[in-house]
Amino acid sequence: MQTTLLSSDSLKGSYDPVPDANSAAKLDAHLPRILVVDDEALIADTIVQILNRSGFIAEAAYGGKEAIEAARRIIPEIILSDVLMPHLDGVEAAIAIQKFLPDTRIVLFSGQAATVEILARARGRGYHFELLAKPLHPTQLLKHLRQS
Amino acid sequence: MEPTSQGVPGPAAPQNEERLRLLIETGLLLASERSLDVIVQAALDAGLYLCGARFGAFFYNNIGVDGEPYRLYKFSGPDADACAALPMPRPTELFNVTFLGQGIVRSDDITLDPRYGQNPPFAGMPPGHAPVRSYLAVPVRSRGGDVLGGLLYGHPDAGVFAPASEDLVATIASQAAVAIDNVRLSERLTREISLVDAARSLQRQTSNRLRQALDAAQLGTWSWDRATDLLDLDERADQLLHTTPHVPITRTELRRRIVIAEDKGKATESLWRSLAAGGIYSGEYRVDAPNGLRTWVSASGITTFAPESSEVAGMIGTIQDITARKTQEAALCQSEKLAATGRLAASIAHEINNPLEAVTNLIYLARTDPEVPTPIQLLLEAADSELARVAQIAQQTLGFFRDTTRPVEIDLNKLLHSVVDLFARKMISRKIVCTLDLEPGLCIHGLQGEIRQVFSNLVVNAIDAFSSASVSKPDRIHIRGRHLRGRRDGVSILISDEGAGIASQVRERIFSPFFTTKQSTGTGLGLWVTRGFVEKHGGSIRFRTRTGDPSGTIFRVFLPGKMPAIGYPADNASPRLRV
Repeated sequence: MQTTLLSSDSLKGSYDPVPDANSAAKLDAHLPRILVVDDEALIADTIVQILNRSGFIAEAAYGGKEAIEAARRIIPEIILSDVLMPHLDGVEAAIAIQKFLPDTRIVLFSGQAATVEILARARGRGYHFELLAKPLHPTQLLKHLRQS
Repeated sequence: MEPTSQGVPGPAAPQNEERLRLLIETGLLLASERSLDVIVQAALDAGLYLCGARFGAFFYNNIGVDGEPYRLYKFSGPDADACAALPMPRPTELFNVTFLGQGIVRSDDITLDPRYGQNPPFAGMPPGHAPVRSYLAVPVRSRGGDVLGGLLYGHPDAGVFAPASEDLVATIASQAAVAIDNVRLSERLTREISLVDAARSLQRQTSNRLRQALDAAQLGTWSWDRATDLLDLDERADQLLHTTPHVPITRTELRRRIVIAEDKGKATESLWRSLAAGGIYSGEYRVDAPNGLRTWVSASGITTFAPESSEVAGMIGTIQDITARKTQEAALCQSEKLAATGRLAASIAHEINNPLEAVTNLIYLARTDPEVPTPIQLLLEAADSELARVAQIAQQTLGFFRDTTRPVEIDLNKLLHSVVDLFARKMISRKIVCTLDLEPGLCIHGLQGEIRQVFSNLVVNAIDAFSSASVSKPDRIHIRGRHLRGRRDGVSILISDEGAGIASQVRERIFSPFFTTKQSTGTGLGLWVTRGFVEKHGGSIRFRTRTGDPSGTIFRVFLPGKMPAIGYPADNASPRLRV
């Protein structure tokens, strides 16, 4: 039931952004593009909607592989990615993306305690990613993303 | 002693006076002699001399070291050499009279005796035997009637042994019997004494070994008499039970004096159960020393019975200090709990944080939608702030929030002031005054977020320690920070409150997860997390509390100047974590 409720709303949000945000994007080419990656569609879609309402051009991806493809396509300034996802986790995807988009800012986002260890592993390979803890209030998320 | 005058044929019996002297001398010698050999030889020689025989033999039964009897013999007299190689006398009719102790045989010419020469293979004397016609054989019998042997004399001439000779030899035989009896008695005594000695030495060894084993196991021993209730304790048991050596004490009194109240019932119940059912008693309980030191002891024992009775007379057993074991057990239990809680928290965290994130986002979207009427927006705002509380609790208590940063230099003066500022509003509303007394430059190296959490938790607890009822004077919280120089350099922070104190029955549990005294508002994880962080930083946390008047609690946190290194797993060694 939740999925139905959201799919209409959130899908509309991601693929057919609300007119004002859309027009703003057209008007201002400097709006930052952001790719939101989460295997939980509800989280990815709601964040995309919030960001689109708040001066970002956001798009959702629901897995690591998908994220790499989307990143190639839209060349985002920021990637906000969940860490623990099936198939290809956020850290691996982020490392892969960072290789062809070295200037993209990558912010990881996790509800798992074990994330710290995963992040340490990435650090060991020379990648320093930011980490945010779920749940994070949208206002704080926006505040964090607006800080450069 | 020189036997018969050699070369004198026929009866050469000495004069009466001489005989008497010899008899007495022999008697004295035999009475004082302790060697069987010498006794036998002396008796044989004396008999030979007294009866004037040319040949004498003493066959005697001896007892071997194994207790088995065997027969020995000695020869004497001028013709004795001829007999040295002779076989032992066989149980013929004639010899049986002597060796079964039936009586004395005296014959003027034994070859004429109807019992003589009846037995194969020799039908008389064996070849090489000195010729014998006069024959005198006297059994040697002990006082108890046992035949010890026989004195046998012979002479090649007939009619040599007079009846008087028979009496003299019989006297010698009875003297010899007494002497042999004495030797045997003395040998038996010696044997028994050496057995007792051996037993005693074995007992000493066993006892030494037991003592060593008890020492090695650090076991004390005790025995308890049911009738008098008195305890008998060894040195170590005295030490363990804090009793004065050699001062009698009853079990009841000892129990009253040292066993802590909670364990009194336990110790007694186990004792009565084993008294009633027999078998083994074992009890573990805590005892308080006069200096206030509390230790765990374990006593075990078995019931003892009165001699020849089935009535339980008391108990005997051992006692040992098991404080170390109990401490380890508690630590193990604690760490198992921690590990289990950690796993639980990690799994719950993921399950809760994701839906929380989604709901937070949904409420935010609804609330910020300009088409939503204001009253509904207000409702959504309330929902949003309630949800923020849930999110905060989830983060704090489910152990998600871990510092992702590297250890840094932390200015504790600044950190403590900011923690107090954070709760200033709450303290003002509750009329609590908080003072800080911090030495300048309190710095440590550690994880900022965790150290902040440690002091936030302790300050919150201090605030909650005050019951709202007290209005007479302002409630005070005092925070004191000092440098510590010594074995380990670091800082010591005391956080003291004048609140209600911590009740004695919960003191042991305040650091346990999910233990709280704050009913609905507490998670029971604050102090558990606090201690976890402090120990992770290589520090320690202790507290002292008092519930009487005045009451209050002091928490002391020690943090070393530099936290121990936390190894991050090497890239290839770490397991892949997937969900």
